[in-house]
Amino acid sequence: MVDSSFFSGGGYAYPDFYAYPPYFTLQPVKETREKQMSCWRDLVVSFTRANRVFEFETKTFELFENKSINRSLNESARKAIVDDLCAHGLGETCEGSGGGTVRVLWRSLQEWQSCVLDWAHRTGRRGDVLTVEELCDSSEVAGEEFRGMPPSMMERILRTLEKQKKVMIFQGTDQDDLGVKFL
Amino acid sequence: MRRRGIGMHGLKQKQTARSHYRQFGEQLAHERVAMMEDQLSKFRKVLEDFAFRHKEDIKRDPIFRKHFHEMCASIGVDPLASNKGMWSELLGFGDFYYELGVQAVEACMAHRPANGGLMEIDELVAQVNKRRGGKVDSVSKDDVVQSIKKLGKLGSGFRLLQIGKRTIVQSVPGELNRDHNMVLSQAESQGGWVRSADIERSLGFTQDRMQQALQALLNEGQAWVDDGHEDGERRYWFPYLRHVK
Repeated sequence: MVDSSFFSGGGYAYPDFYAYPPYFTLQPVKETREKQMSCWRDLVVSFTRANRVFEFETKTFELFENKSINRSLNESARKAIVDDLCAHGLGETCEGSGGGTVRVLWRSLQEWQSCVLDWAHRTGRRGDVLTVEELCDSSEVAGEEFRGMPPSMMERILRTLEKQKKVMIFQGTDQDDLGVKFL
Repeated sequence: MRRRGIGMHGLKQKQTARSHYRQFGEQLAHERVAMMEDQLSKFRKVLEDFAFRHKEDIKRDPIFRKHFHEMCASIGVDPLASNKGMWSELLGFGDFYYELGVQAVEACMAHRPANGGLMEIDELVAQVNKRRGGKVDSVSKDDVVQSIKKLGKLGSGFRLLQIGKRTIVQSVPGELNRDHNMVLSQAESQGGWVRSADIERSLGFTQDRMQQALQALLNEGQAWVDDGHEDGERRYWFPYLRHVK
């Protein structure tokens, strides 16, 4: 989930509020809660972007706990943050995860689509066939922003491109193995 | 006849004397006023000269500026009273405090959602200086206090409060009553937060009274709740005390 070669959690500069205990309790007053949610929203996006986190488990996401002040968001607070993230188009719950896994869109799906297409055109992949796995993580995509993306997320992006007739997806030899051809 | 003549004469004499006295009195008063005016204009000139001579110091040095303000205040001159006055022309003061006022308002507004419109003066000074950037000379607490006082006169809801040991800038209309003040002072004394038990024990509030005070502070966004402590007791935090250790 976290690309370790890019991981720089130690160097990440957390905002002030992250060390202030009440931000870890869902606030009962509406205006205050809105402020709280917007702080968390910004933090989740900036943290995941900085650390190249594409997906996280709501229940165990490291960001939702700050051991140095001994505070951890409870279940309803976590859910509120995730809901808020999704409502702002910055996240979506992963298919089949029962809402437990959240995909963070620190780049929008449209942006990812153009990233992938741009790479294919730039490196002359038209007509080539690759597996989704290769597209996510191989020497071919070293240094690309989408490198390390979970295959399920890549598939989501490719499915949209398929509808636009930009790629063709077909079943590979293995059950899970998907092939993609850039048109 | 003679007696009456003397009487008339005496009366006339008295009248003349009286009018002389009056004339003399008026003359004296006139002279005094003239003298005062003369002195005042001399004084004004001296003060102007002083201000002009030390213009750069007044502009640049916050401490010097503070002393200059104190001197002006003690003799009843307000260099900020008018934007059109000689002072603002001479020193560019009007602009300085106008600009500062705007920056103070902006800083307060930006932090209002997080602190409910209460901000410690030192924090505001830091925020204002941050906004001004490193290219201009930083402003002092006294400067910000001056600009807040000016803002208060506009009826804008900006005012300075003394809570506990701290000077707080309030940027939202609304009264903090005595109970609120006591709760905030209690929080200040124990590091920026309180539990119900602390208020009961230290302030002797009844449940109702405590709930009312805390709920009002919560509703205004001046208090935040924290249920995350391991002892399981709810804490109320007051963001303007965020930097209290």
